[in-house]
Amino acid sequence: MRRDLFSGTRTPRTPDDLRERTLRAARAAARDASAASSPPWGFSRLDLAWMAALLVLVLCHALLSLSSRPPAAPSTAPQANTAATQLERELGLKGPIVVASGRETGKNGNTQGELIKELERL
Amino acid sequence: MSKGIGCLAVGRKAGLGSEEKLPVTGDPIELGAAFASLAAGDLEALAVIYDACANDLFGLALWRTGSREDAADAVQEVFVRLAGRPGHIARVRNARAYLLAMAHNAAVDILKRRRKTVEAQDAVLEPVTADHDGSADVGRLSSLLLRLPAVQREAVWLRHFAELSFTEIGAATGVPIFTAASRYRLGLRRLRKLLGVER
Repeated sequence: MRRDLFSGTRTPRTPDDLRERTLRAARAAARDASAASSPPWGFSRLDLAWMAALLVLVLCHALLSLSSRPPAAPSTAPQANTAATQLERELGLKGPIVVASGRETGKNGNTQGELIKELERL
Repeated sequence: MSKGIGCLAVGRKAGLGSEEKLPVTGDPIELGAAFASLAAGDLEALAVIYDACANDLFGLALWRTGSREDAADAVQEVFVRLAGRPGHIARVRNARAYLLAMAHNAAVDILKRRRKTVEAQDAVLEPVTADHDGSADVGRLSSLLLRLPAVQREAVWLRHFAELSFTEIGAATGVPIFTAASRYRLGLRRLRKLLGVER
């Protein structure tokens, strides 16, 4: 059946100028693709995108870490130690005040500074 | 033109005489080698591939679009896409099927872009020789073919001229095997009816 229908026929050939036109366009496309995919420094655009994303991530992390850190509270321990020693000398007390230095103490969880203030009021 | 992978091969399935040639994409090994060369960056391989397959790709696109101009654009688009992504073609197993699928896609894209309201009516067949006795019949057959739906016309071309199996036609046009076979059979039936030879 196919022989009956199509014998002695063929599909028309390509136009004469198509070969040159097509190959010229294809070579230009190949050069464009090559230039786009491999910059002179050897990284592809995908590589650069990954690196940029990673860099942004690290920078954001660093910024957030810095901004969310609570301001460092000035340490009262040396002053407290000095005050406690002075009180020891003045009041002739020993032990409890010095032991309480640097930590919460007392039934109500008073800090060392508050304890010293109380002692000063005596 | 590279004769080693020339596009013209003697038609086998059609049972034509030895002097009649059908466009059948050539030696798959040679074509595969040309693909490998192109993937490795050898742009000269483009010319080899063109010489091997351009007529096939043009024929398929012409039967799909019905326009010589659109078919030429489709061929050019195939080669531009081919050259623009050499990384892809390194993984292609069947170069011939890949090219035909690209030509199909390019033709469909062109038709979508142009959104023609009137279908082109360029001849999709010509006599093998200029002094062929049945030139008038060929002209009539060509015009009747243009009355078939494009998908059926394309299936007939792929089956008859490219000698693809229905599995390959389905793969090239992106449809199931059954659909490819149906399109072919419906196309032939309709063509026979138009010719007045339907039993």
